[in-house]
Amino acid sequence: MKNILMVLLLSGLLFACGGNEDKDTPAEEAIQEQVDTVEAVVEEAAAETEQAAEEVAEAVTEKGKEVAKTGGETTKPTNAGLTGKVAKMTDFLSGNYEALSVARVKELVLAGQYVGFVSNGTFYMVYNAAGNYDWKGLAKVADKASVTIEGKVSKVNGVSIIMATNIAG
Amino acid sequence: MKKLFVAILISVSVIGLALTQMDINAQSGTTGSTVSLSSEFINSNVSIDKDRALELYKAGQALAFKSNGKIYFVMNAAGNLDTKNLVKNAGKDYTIGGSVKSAKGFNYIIANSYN
Repeated sequence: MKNILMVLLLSGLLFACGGNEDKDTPAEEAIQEQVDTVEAVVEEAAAETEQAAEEVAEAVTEKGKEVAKTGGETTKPTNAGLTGKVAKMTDFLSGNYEALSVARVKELVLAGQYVGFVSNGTFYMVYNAAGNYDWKGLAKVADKASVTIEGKVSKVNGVSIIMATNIAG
Repeated sequence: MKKLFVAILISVSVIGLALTQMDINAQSGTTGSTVSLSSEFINSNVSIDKDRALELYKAGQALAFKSNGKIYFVMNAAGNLDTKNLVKNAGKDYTIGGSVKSAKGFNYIIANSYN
C-alpha cells in the first residue's frame, strides 16, 4: 500500500514538473500567463520566507554557540563553603549509602572506586590546589555527618568539581 | 501541492536516515579514550598511555572515559566502577558496548564489552 502511495506521489511530482507539449490557444495562453505571474509572486514570497527562516535559524545557532562557550565550564567560589557529606560515587547513584571511614576510603579509592562530596543533591569530585584528586582530604572527614568544603566549584565536561582550599568536618 | 509532495518525500528520507543512524549507534557502542580527570580539569587534554594510567590508578587518581568531548564514568554490570578496564585500554581509542545513561548530573556507561 505504501509503495503504491509512493509511486502515486512520485508520479504526481513528475507530472507536475513535466512540460506541456500541446499548443495552447490564445485564451489558454492568457490564463497560463496569469498563472505564471501568480506562481512567480508565490515563489518570491516563499523565497523571502525561507530567507527569513534561515536568518532566524542562524541567530538561534549563534545563541547556542554562546551558551555552549559559557555553559561548558564555569567556575565560582563556594563563598562560606558547601555543606554535605563524603560518599562513594556508586552509592550516590544507587541511593544506598555505605558508612565510610579513613581506612575504607583508602581501600575504595585504591581499588578504583571513587569517593566524592555530596551537597544539595550534587556529587562533586574534590581536587586540591595542585590539581590532584584529594581523596586523602575526604578520607579524613569521611565519618563525619556534616562536612564543609571551601573553594571553587566548576563543571568540566559534565562533571562537577570542587577545587578545595579547606575541608572541615 | 508540489511543495507538499517534496516535503513529504524529504521528511520520509530524513526519518529513515535518522532511524538507520540510531541503529548504527546502538550497535557500535561508544568510542573514545581513557583520560585523567585531573588533566581534564586543568584543561591540559594530555592523552595517557597504559603505563601512566596504571601509575594514576595506583596513586588513587581518578580516570574516566571521554567520547566526543563528554566525560563518562564506566561501571560494570555489578554496579562498581570499572577502572581496571580503563587502565587496560588506555593509550588508544576503543569502543565500549553497553548502556549509556545520564542520571543525577552524571554521564555513565554500564559496560558489557570493550573493543
